Amino acid sequence: MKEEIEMEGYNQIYEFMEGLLDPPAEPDMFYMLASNEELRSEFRRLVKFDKSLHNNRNLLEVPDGSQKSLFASLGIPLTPEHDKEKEKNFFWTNFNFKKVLPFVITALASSILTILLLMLVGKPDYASENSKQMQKYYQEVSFLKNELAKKNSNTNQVPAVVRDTVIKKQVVYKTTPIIQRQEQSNQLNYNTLAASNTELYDYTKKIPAISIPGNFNRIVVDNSQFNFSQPLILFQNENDTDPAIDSKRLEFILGGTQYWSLPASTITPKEFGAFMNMQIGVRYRLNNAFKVGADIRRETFFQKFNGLDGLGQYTVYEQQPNFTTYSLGLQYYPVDMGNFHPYLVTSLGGNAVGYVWRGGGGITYIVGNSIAFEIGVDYSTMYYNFDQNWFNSSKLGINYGISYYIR
Amino acid sequence: MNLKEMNDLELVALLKGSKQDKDEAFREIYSRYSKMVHAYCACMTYDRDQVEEIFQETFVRFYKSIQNNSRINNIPGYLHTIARNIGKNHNRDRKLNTEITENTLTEDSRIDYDNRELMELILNTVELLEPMYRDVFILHEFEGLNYGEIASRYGISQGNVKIRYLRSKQKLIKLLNPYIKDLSK
Repeated sequence: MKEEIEMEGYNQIYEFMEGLLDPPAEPDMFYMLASNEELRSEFRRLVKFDKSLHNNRNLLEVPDGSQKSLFASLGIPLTPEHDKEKEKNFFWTNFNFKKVLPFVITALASSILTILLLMLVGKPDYASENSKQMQKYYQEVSFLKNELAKKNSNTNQVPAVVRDTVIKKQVVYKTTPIIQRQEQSNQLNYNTLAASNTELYDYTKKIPAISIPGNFNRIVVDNSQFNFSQPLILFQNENDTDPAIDSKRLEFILGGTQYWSLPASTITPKEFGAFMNMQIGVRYRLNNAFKVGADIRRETFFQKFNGLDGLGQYTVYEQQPNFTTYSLGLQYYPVDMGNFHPYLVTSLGGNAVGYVWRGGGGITYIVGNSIAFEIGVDYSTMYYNFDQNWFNSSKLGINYGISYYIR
Repeated sequence: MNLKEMNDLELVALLKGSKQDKDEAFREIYSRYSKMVHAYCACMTYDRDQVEEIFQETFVRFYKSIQNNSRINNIPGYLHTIARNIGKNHNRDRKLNTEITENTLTEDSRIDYDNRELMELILNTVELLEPMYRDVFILHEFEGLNYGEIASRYGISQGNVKIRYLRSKQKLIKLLNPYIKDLSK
């Protein structure tokens, strides 16, 4: 019986030290400790045992260099998964915020100045508004042509190609000179058009009188947004024929970058190749939120790695060669702030020695129907293999560029 | 093929297979026992460079021994034996008079010799435990796995893992009892 109680006491103190003992059982445990010398001795031994394990945890950590050297000497590659823990902690353990703070402040100040300058030289808003209306106008004309084609199909007077455009919108239409020019170019019958319009769009009777300035020549009204009690006038400046930048899907980018190695490089490149720290690229807009693209960059990466040299000696190498990196990327625009478009970007690519991943963000400022400026920051990491071991080099960059939208 | 679920003997068998099998098996064995072996090496000497030398050489010799068809039933025990022998050789080869640098004095003043010695004893004694207790103790204390992770690795309940862990500690303290008493003096 006494042995059973002692055994119970042993178990309780072990559970207590591990934090596994239920709080209601603690008074019993301390009572047994107070009354049993053997249990107190066991408790002291356990405390000493745990203290020794706890105080020597630092001895368990294998230095990175030692691990790499061991695997190198056995010719066994260290997989990226094997180094995952270090990668996960790399940023927080090795990243020195104080070091990069001046650069971040400089980047922010430059961004604000650039934006202010661009705002001062930017075009008035009506240009983009007119462009949007122009786009709407093209849709409406297509619709009318389609409706006309349908109407005339019974009499076999309209070419089949006109039926291809189908836009499910009902509009109020009033004949203007520009519409007549369209009709002339298509060699359609004006009388048929006028008759069909009157028949299809009876809302014209409800529209109050509309006044049109001399330099505007088109009226298009979307029925879904139309308030019949108010006059509605939408104009398109006929001099502005370039579609809005939002409707263009393809763009070219030319940019430059300023990079800082992480950790700081201890050597400088032997030479800088042509177009160093420059990039050219092309992007395609999938929708309002996403773009995909490809780019080519001239850049350097500071590499520090180790391995065995030709004589079997353990050697640490440092170099900063020139690379041409080819990447595919995805750009995400989370919000639309008028002419400002903040974005997040990630890309994956490769160069002569390894793979390069980048992630970052920035802002695009649209200054016209074809031009936009960009400024952002990115974090790049290059993974490369030496002597069957994997290493990586990282750097932080501020990039800037100009985009030209073509269609 | 999930190497994490394999026992030590299966990994040793894999170490004699193809290059890919060897590499993967070695990585797994290394991830299981590297911390413990490193701590053991660090307990043998206070010279950091020497610790790394002994540590690396231990695993190199272990790998080569397997390739030479040595029979191994207890990997941590075998690793300890190799490390102990290499450590002895290193200590024998060291100069009798070592120059005391400022750096050495600073570092040594912070070392808790009693704790370090007990740690070495614990590491030596772990290999004497039965595998079912030894593995749980190593994974929890040295690899930092929690009870749930160990339970899923061995396909047993968390309660079972807790019991095995507590038993392993009881057994270790029982084995070390004379030394702990001596250290307390």
